[in-house]
Amino acid sequence: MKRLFVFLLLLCTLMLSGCSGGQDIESCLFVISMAVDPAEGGNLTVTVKALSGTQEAAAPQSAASPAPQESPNGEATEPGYVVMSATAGSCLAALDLLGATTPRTVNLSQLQEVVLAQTLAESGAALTILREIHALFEANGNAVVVVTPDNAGDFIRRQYAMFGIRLSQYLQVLFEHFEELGTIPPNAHLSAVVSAMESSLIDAAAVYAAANDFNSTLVLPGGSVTDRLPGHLPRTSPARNEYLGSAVFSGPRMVGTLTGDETTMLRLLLGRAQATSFVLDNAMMQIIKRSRIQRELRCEDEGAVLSVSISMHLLLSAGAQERTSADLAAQIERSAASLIARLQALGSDALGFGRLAVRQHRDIDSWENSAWPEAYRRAQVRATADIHIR
Amino acid sequence: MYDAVTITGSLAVNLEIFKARLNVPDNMDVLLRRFRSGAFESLLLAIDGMCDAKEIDEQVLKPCMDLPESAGEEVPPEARVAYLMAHAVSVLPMKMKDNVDEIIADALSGQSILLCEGCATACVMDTRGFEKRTIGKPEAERVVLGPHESFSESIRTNITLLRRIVQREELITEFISVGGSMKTRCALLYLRGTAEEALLERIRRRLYAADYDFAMTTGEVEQLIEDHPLSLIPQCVRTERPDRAASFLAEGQIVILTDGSPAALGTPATLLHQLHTPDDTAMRWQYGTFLRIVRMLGVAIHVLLPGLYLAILRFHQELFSPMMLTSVYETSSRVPIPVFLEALLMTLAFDLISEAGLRAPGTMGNALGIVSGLILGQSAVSADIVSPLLLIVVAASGLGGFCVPNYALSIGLKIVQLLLLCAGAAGGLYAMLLVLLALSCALLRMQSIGSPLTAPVSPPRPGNPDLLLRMPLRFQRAKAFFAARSKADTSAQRIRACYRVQAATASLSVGAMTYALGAGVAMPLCLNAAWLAALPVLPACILLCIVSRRMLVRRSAARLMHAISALLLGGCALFVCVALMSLAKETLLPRARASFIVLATVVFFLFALPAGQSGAMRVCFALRRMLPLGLFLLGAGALSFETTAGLFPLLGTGAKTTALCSCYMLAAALPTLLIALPPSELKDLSAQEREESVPRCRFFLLRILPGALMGILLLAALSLCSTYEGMMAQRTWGERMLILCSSTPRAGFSGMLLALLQLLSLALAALCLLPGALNAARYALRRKEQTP
Repeated sequence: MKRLFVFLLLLCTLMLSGCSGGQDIESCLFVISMAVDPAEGGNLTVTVKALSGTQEAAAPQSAASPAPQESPNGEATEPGYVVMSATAGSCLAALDLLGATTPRTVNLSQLQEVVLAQTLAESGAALTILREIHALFEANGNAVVVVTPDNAGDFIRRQYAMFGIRLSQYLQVLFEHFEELGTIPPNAHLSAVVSAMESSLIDAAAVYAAANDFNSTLVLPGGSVTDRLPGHLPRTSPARNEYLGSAVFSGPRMVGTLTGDETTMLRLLLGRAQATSFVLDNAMMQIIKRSRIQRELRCEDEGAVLSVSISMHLLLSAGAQERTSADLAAQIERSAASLIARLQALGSDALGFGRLAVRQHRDIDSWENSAWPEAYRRAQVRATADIHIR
Repeated sequence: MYDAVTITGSLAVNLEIFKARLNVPDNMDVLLRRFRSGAFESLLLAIDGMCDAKEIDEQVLKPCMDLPESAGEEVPPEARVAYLMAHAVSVLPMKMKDNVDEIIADALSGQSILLCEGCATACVMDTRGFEKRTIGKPEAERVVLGPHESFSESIRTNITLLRRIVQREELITEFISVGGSMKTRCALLYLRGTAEEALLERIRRRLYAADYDFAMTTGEVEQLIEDHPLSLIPQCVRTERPDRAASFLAEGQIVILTDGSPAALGTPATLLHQLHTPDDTAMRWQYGTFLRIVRMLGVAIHVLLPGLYLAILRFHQELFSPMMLTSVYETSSRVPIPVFLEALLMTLAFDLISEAGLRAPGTMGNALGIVSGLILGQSAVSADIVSPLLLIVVAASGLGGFCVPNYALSIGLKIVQLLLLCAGAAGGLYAMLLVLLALSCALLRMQSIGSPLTAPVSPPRPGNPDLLLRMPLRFQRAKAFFAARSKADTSAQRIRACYRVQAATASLSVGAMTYALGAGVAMPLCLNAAWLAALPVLPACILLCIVSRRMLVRRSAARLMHAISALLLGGCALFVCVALMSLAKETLLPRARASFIVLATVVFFLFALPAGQSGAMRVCFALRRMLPLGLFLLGAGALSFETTAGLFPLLGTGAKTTALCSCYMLAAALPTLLIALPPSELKDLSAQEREESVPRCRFFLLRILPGALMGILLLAALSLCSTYEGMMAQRTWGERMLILCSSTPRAGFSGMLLALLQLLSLALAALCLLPGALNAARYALRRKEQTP
């Protein structure tokens, strides 16, 4: 009797676990990139780039218009991948439509990037879309969220692997490269963006990317090459997409963009700049030691004061260094204060000062009654930097 | 007509008896020789081919026939055989017998029988001289270093081989005839004073009780004496190496040899005995340890890899890296059959090749293996019938199987591999874990001739540290835990082992509490009031632990304490169950599957544990070991008092607070209870001995600190979790769990934390099972010992 009881429990545990949904791998459609665009009549167009299972090139397909067609920019589809799109009332419906019209189950576990059109991000629909993708379609939480001012579908059609590796690996390498370069925000992963959008203590920042449509050899005016937004650089390689800067959000709504250099400063203030290089005048500096960043929130008579303190070692890696440590420190202080002021103006707490503010409240009700967003906008900013040049 | 039990004084009658029983003259092998030996006639009985004819001629017949005709005239008839033995026959050894059945059995075994006219006693002379194989090299247990002798089919030769290694007067050989109508001679070898007498008696009893008609080999004898005939794992260890059998004797085990079988049976044995090889000991400890680790890895690959491959391919594709998945996807898309069938066919094909290679004669076996492997593998891949990755998986798994040094165990593990393959295909990693745990539970309860099969790991037994790792020789004791010890010594060691288990459980409990308490206190909103309410209990518990540990060994106080804690635990377990039921509802939320899997595993263990216990009190009390886990999960999921209260939707506000506070208070008190409550082994001791057996504070402290460290590390992992902030911002418990579970395993720390939770729950549950197994084994052992 005891054995029967244990056996039944074992059986129940197995049945109730929800682990009966196994699928053979060939019956899945593994999506690598995904793009969401607004369509006519309040609809959404979802475009996916997925593994085709063969090394041969596949013609692009559309669920809305089943006949094979060329992509708008006339790009060739990469061998081994297939691009498909579907238009429906919501992101979920579009994904369902894709699943219904393709004889495969849509599987987002290998998703590498989610591209959103800027108009969608600014409309506040981003959170709903991302949550649906993340929660209902079990998407890879590590996928990078990208916002583009162009058509998001075209953005992923244009993108293909360079330098002899497959696209799935290429995207990983690409994002790792930009993270090292420091020109894309940290925490731009799907799960982090969703939780930041839902949180009242911090705001999200996604990668900002666009097509660099013009071929040019002109020398750009101004100081730093990366102190620009994507699409403002001439194309000098076969890659047509350019990842540079951040799209910052306030809650679920995108409120502005940061240039590559501003994003580098954002990374620095968030303490994620271990291996970042940056250019000051004619010198290329490298942070060789992890910076000790202190963010503080003080309540003074005239209101809240947002304070950041940076302490770091810099190594001259190229060029000629003509400035003193004090000069450099002053410049970094100005850049930091400017970034914080810009974020304040945009109403985005991408640096997470809310986490410091919430500790001053004993319970949720007092925190919610404190009107932190208003206090944040009005807060004064103080930045101090301590630089050692090696 | 001649159904006599004993022989008579008449030689003619005896001759007729033997002719009738041995079917002479139809049976041409029987030699019956009447001859004159001095003043009387004698008869020699032998079986042609089984005895040494030259020895009989020279040592028996010739001396007897050379006696003068008057020799033995004055000897009384009943002493004539003894007279011949004393004056003519020069053969050793000799025995006097009068039972016809025994005499015939001896004659059939190759001995010769001498009978005299007027004497009702026969002399059995060992003149065996049949053809036998010479001592060869071991085939199934080859070693690089170490001796290269193996047992042969002759039991006498085998005993000699053993005696040559174990040159001690304590080495005893007992002969037992096993079986029904066709008896097989078995030899029971042991070192008197080293082997435990109770074990020896148990084996003797089982051998005598065996009524199987024909037990020819040690394999059949093993089946006759084993405890669990339905089990997949062998419970005795067979060896064809005399040096290994000698090491069994030295460790206090009993060796069984059978006539006609070139292997010895070492019993009782543990699972680890079956995974060790003589090479481990013959080499330096570093090399031996390395080889053992490689072997264990091989065993793990053999058993788990095909199942894991299927589970990941069918259920957990996110565990593949994108490039790996691309490669697997492209090759799998070309294969026309489902992956489960593909894996099953390839595994069976591998077994087929292995079996065919084994049975094929001589060198053909190797060639057959290579050709079949090449043809099957290469052709199957070329024809797109199997994917290359699966071929690699099956080949690696097969190679791992060859690492198992015990052939019987390797077949058992092959069956386990197939079970896990089916589980992986049907339910993914979770089903594999369940099957593994069910098998582990069964394994923990298995015994080898009354000794736990998984000892000295579970239950922990003092003895030889030569277990998974081969420690230096100077750390090893000569005798294992099977060896006989004084009762007081055994009792003290068992009590120490019980306290060690209790301290380990308390350590885990402290770790869980540190984590849960830290998670609550470190929250910015400081809302984990229930934990804070539980804090005052801690000093009281510590005081109790310090002051009353020795007092509690008194029987009445201990009983009272047991009863109170059992009641408290029962109540808290009820609360936890209510919470789990509430959680089950949350599975309707998307992505909460992972959390449900974790908790369902816990529920399974919670209910599986009582299966081995007896009595409601014991069941209730056994739950105390599971409670830290439930509370740990509560602490992990419950980030504030008000959200935790949401776990009890059916209770009112006051009841919710009471339930939570009692759960947390008990959790806070749990390590103390575990340490303070005396193990039941103490009841056999006197009051003075009981107080002396309680270990000092340092004993517990050293074991509890690692648990606390583990809790702190988990806390550090939580603080690095990127979804922590988002989770914290949610007001409802369901929303928090949604975020906690929203990451796939590769999605950073939250995923890692989930995996850690799962692993920890498994480890904790396994450790919690150990004391249960210990108790069950001990009680079973005690019951059997008490049985006459």
